[in-house]
Amino acid sequence: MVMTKSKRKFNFKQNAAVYVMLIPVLAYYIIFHYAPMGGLVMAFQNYRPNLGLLGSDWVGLDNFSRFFSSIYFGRLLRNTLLISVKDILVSFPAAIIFALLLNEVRSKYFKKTVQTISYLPYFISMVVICGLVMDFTEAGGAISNVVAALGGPSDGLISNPKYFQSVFIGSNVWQNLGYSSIIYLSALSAIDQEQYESARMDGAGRFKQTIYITLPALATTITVMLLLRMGHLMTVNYQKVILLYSPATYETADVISSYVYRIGLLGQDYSYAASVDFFNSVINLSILCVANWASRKYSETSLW
Amino acid sequence: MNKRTTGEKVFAVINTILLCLLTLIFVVPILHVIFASISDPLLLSANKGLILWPLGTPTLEGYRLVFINATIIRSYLNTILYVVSATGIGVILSCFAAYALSRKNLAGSGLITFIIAFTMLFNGGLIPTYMVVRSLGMLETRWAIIIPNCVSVFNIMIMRTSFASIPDGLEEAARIDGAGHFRILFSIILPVSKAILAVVVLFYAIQHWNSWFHTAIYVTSRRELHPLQIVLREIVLQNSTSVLEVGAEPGELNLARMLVRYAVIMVSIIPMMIIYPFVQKYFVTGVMIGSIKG
Amino acid sequence: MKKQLKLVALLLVVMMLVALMAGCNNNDNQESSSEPSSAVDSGDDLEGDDSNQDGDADGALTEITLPIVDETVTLKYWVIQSASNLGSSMKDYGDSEAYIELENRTNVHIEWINPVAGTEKESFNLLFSSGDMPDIIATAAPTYMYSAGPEAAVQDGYFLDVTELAKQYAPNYMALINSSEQLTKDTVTDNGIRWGFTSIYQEPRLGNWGPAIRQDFLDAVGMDMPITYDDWYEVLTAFKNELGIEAPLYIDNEGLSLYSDWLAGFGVGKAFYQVDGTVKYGPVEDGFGEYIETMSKWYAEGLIDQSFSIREPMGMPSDDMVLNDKIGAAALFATWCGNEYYPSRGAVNPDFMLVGASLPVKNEGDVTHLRAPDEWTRDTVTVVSATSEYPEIAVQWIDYQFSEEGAFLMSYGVREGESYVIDADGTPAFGPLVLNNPDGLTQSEARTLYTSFTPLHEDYNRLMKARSEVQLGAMYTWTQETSLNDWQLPLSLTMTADENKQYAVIMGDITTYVQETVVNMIMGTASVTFDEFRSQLDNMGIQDAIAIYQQAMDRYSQR
Repeated sequence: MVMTKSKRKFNFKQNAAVYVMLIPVLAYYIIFHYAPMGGLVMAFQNYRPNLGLLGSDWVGLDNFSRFFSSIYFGRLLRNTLLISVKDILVSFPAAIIFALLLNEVRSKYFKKTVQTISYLPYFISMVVICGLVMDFTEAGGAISNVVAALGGPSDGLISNPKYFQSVFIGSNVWQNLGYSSIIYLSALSAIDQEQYESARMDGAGRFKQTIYITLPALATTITVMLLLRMGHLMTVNYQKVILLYSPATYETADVISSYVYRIGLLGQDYSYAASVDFFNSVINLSILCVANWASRKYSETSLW
Repeated sequence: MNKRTTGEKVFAVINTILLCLLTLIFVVPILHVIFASISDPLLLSANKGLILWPLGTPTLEGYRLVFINATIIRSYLNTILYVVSATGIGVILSCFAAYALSRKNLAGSGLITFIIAFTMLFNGGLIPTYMVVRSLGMLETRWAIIIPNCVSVFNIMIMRTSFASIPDGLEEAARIDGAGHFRILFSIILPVSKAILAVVVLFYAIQHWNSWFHTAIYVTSRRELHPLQIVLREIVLQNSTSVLEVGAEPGELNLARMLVRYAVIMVSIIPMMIIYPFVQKYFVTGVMIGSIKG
Repeated sequence: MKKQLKLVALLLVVMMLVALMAGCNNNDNQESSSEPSSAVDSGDDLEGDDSNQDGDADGALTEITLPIVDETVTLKYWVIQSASNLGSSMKDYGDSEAYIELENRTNVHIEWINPVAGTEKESFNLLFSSGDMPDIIATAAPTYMYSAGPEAAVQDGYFLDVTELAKQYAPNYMALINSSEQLTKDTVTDNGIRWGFTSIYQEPRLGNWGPAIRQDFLDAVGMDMPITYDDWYEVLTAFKNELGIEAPLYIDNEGLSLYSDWLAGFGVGKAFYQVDGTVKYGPVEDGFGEYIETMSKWYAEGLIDQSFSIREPMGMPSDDMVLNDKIGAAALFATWCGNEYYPSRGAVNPDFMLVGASLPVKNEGDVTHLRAPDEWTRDTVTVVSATSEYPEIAVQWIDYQFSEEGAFLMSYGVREGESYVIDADGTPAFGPLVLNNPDGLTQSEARTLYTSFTPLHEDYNRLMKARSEVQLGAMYTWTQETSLNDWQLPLSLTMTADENKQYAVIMGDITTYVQETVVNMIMGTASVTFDEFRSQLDNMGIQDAIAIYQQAMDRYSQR
């Protein structure tokens, strides 16, 4: 029997099963991701749980203007962006450089060992990591002592606003370096060795080889990873922030999402919290769109 | 192999040293925890620095106190329950979705993919999501820990890519024989996708093993439902060792608090450490496949 | 792209609809129960009443007869039960003999809801949005209270207005209230609404919290009990330099202490207080600046716990710090004082001796005006949910604990000679089961197991008699003549719903600002001076908040 070419549209009756398969997943996303989006209307209300969404009064943009005029607005925005940007500036090159260094290792055994050990921290849970961070960076902790010996503050790093972001990002790198480098390593292994051969014949040193062959080959991967990272620029892993911050470090640690958690869940101020969260998500999406557009325009890679 | 220049040799040496240093940095904190957990409790309390060898006489006292603690044991069992069920549900749903979306010419697949992927970019926020969970009556139940976040777009996508790359021939043959979609999925696609399945199971399992935030907000008063991470959080971060007193003799704990803290941390890491070598190769494969989805 | 947009729009509409439906559901659930039940008709009550009480002519009970109901009724009760008090033998208060006996007598079964340590506030707040409020809730303003205040909680349909119900079904409580003008005033809102049942001691009791210092350390450095701030400075310095104490002074994570113990000497409180009827706010007063200066100096010299800002919010040091000689002085409960720490409680130092110290002052003989209060009423108010199916029964169950037998049961348990004894003078006291528990339980644990840890109508003497001389001495030190509490705001001050809303908006950010800036100023990492801090508070509207409190204060005075 001759196989007919795939049709334009599926025969629905015959392939109803496929749609049936999709139902639970779609239901999940609609219930847990899209329905809450609808709940965002409470950002425009003075929401009272007992009155529900329909019964609470509408206040238009009041919650938003309250947020914008709060003395914390600037700081929250600044912290959110600073931490994310700094994190990208540190983590990205670190992962790439680590991958490059590893790639240069001749001994397979050594390379494998280092790789394996580097993935280890990724498996440790956030709660435990934060516990360790606290231990090492509180007053008298191992890392605090080293920093103090080098002239830093003697009362610990984790309660010091000047050091919070460094500690936060440092622990991110510690945990994620190995994991992030996997992608680059795999991309590196896909590079045609012949290119290096011919470059060497032309007299290019290792360094030149890296710049002209390796990096361009990684460009696509880097761009995609960067774009994905932008996807949560504004959320900054706030769960970790919540675990590590304290009033002493709010100045540099408090980000938009941790603020939402405090005033929303702890302070019962639901509408206000929802409006701040809404603002956060909108900014996030905008940044991502801009980044994607720029990427599409200037390179051939983009998420969509 | 070409002869290496001096420059290259120097570079290799420096590189090796650097990498060794890095490895140390990765390993040392973990060693600290391991050794601290078997150190003498009094010395541990007084100690402030890095512990690179057990202080005093090594003791398993900390672990003993952990294992007689019903709260910790129960939360461990809870975690296992949650990881297994959430991963199970997540994997099944992801399989379905990945299979469906990998079918060529599926009407609306573009839209559906968009609907699913869009959730990675935008969400309703903490409070509205909480309200939804509440209105479903899931608060203070195990469902609130298992269901929200049991499906991940990323995992669906990498599965889809993998399914899509399975040669058509296999399915065509099955379809000629009259197999429906479910049959095709279970008898044809899944058996050849063991690798990607392993990866997805792994990713989900890690995600659920480590999750704590949603439990913390959805189940605030029924302690018996709490997973290990929440108990850990009380002990490790809030220094609330009252939890630890369950099971211990009164007074037994007073000096051993620091010790027990480290022992509990170890107990939560050990499963990962043990499983890790076995899953490592899948892990690497998974991340690589994921990167191709781009 | 256009097609995508249309689809997105369609999708958004769908989500809105789903969300609205979810919102609708809640609405229905709440609407049926949010009708204000403030004006309760006594006739209606009796009709729906399935209890079997006798009453007098107009239906009000004169006493609670037992059992309260013929068929067991289950009520849910939200109350914080500390894990260390429950110990390993109890799952919740339901395992306590006093409560078991209470159930036997009243035939009311309690389902206990105990929030997880560290998330009590979240758990409490979530009660209001979960749509499923327990029948009875132990509230404690300002932390465990509806954000808009108790009156709003009643108006919004969360708390039951028990003004009339209490008259009908709470004879013991009402008799107690009516016996004293102060109690009458302190247990209702400005508008006379009774929104719950305030816990009341059988007799007013002395403040039981204050500064405490290690006597053995003082002896070791050969110094006397410090009186002035300068004395304290010398003592703490000696602790640090001569004894190597890690944290000579322990303060709470906000840089203050629960009852302004370290500030009172500078003539300010840590938050709102009143001087002869005029409300003031500590952080904007000059005295506060002096406090900051002193504390930051002490911190810089290592006299204060260097990690204070990341400690747990309750303000009490961990056992590890106390028992391992890491602390020289702290503000604590009276029960922490004493010398029974070695070896039974695990202290490392055989000479361990913690005694009460008077609040530091600038000059010897100064009078301070703020401290841990003497209390007759407590901050705990037991409320009945407006959606409870058994309000009358709940009220009677609560009221029984205010009756003579009920109160005795909850304070002393059931085992004569064991959980309690009758002293020679005819008054009861704790018995050996509590004081010297043979199974090794601490006093708190035994208290929780055999009696109620905090009865609604507690005979505080049971605790006083169980205290050692050192502990009693501490309490007397803290409540001596020069240590007054006349600047405290009345506990039952209430704001109107509007005031509450306004106050919440102003203070939300201010509280955070004060918290972080005070901590940073003490640690020396602040970017503002004290004067800049003060004017920033003015910019943020603190004067308006003070004015709101002033209005509440004025209303209270006129009750």
